Amino acid sequence: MSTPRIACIALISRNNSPLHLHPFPSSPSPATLKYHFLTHATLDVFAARLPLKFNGDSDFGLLYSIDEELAAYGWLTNTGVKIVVIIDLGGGGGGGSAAGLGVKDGELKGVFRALQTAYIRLVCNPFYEEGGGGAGGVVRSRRFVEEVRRIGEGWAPGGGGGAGAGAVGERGVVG
Amino acid sequence: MSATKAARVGEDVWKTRIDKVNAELVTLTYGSIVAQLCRDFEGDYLEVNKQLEKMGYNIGLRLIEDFLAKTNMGKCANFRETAETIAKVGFKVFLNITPTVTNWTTDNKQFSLIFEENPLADFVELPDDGRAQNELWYSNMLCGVLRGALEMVQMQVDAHFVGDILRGNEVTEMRVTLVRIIDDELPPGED
Amino acid sequence: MTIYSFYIFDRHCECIYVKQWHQRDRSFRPTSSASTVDSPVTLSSDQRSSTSSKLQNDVHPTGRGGRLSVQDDAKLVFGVVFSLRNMVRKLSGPDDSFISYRTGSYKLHYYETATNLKFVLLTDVKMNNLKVVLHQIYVNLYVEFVTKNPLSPIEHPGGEGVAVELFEMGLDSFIVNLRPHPPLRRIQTNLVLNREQYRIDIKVS
Repeated sequence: MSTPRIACIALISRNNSPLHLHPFPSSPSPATLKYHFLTHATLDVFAARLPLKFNGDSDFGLLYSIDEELAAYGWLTNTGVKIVVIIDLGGGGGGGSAAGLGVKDGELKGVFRALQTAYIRLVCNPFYEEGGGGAGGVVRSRRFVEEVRRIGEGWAPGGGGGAGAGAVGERGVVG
Repeated sequence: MSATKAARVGEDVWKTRIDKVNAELVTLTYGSIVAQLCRDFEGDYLEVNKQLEKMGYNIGLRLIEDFLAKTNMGKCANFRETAETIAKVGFKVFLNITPTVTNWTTDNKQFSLIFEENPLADFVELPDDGRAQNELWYSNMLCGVLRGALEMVQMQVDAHFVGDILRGNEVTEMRVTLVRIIDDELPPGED
Repeated sequence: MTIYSFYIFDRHCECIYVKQWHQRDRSFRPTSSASTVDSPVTLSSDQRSSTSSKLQNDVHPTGRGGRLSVQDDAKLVFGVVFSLRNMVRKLSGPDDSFISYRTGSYKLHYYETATNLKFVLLTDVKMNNLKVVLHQIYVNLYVEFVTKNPLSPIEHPGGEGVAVELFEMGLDSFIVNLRPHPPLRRIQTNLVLNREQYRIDIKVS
């Protein structure tokens, strides 16, 4: 457990209701509840920093870190959807400061972009209804869940994993 | 007209005479039509298929005139030529795709169009209600378009999908059958 | 160089559009039975009416002043082109189509699309071949303004016909520009040249 890895990916709707939360490894564990709490806690950070964001930058960077082990990074789209990636820095309890700085600024941009693309593909599905489908508006699209899993598992620091999801908007045109 | 010539005509017309429009606009427009129909008919997917086909038919009646005006094509000599023209000129010109023509029956009256890509169905995941996967033909409007267009050029056809990647089939395949050649109508008898 | 009238027939043999330019003064329709002798082609109704002898102006049942109503005209024109087209096909194969015919007093130009739309133009005898013009009317006016207008019906049961203002205006200016004034000789030659390039773009100033 020396390299940082993604511990959890969460998407939150504009109304601050959870859209999707995916812990890694994905088997349900007691940690899932913890991630829910942690994600929930990020909302305040988003709200607090929002007035300071004038330039339309989506990247909120490091939101906070806990125990020098988990660090939460945030991304806010222009439509108010929040994407939170929680990184397990892999330093364990006593890793010290070196582990705490394991993820460089901006290194997660690729991950966020890929997640946003996946989200765009999701909402472009004509059968998708935000907040619909029961279960409190949680996304049930298999393709989206699968894509999030792929992004989360594929990422490695410095490797730029998680990118490569086909970008929406680059297709050709039809007559 | 040979298949290669058809491909060339299609390419040429698409490049020079077609106004282009953003693909997502088309995809999302079509998607909202289907989704709205599904809501309006409360998940009666067989009825949705029917409505899509009907809408397509009405489009086809008009689209064929535009097609003829743009491509300046004459009559096809036989149904094989028609199939090549549909795939390599028609779909190319209007959707920028060229489905494969295959699976001819021996009497040359039935063929399949295999769609490697389908711009209408980008982004789409069928509703997970256990029925849509078996009942809804998402792109059924295309069948209607073919039926309407061919009817205007004196061919009555039956077109329906037999497979769709959205449903989990291996390929998206449409089966087209020539029912009959429509005779010229005679003017109503006078006196 | 005069254009008399224009007709469109749909695939159900219905006349869906008529336009007449020289309505009340059509020299191509004989007003006395004497001039029918000049015409190599005699329309069936003329035969009918010629049986009513020289007095047809007075006794013709359907028209005032010896002329047929617009609908009857259209029916006759359709009868002619329909028979001619079928005859031509029988003679030289299903892909052939006649382009025009001429009588002593008028010329009929014909163009049929693959969807069985029939475009007919009647002009004076000196007019060159106008198949290209009819094709242009189809491509640039009919398809653009009629077919692509979602509110304009495709089928015309009951003969309601095409009623699209843009189409009518476009057609009118197209035909008017097609017809050069007699004194402008030079422009007339331009017309021929342009026609060879499949473009008709004439200014009459």
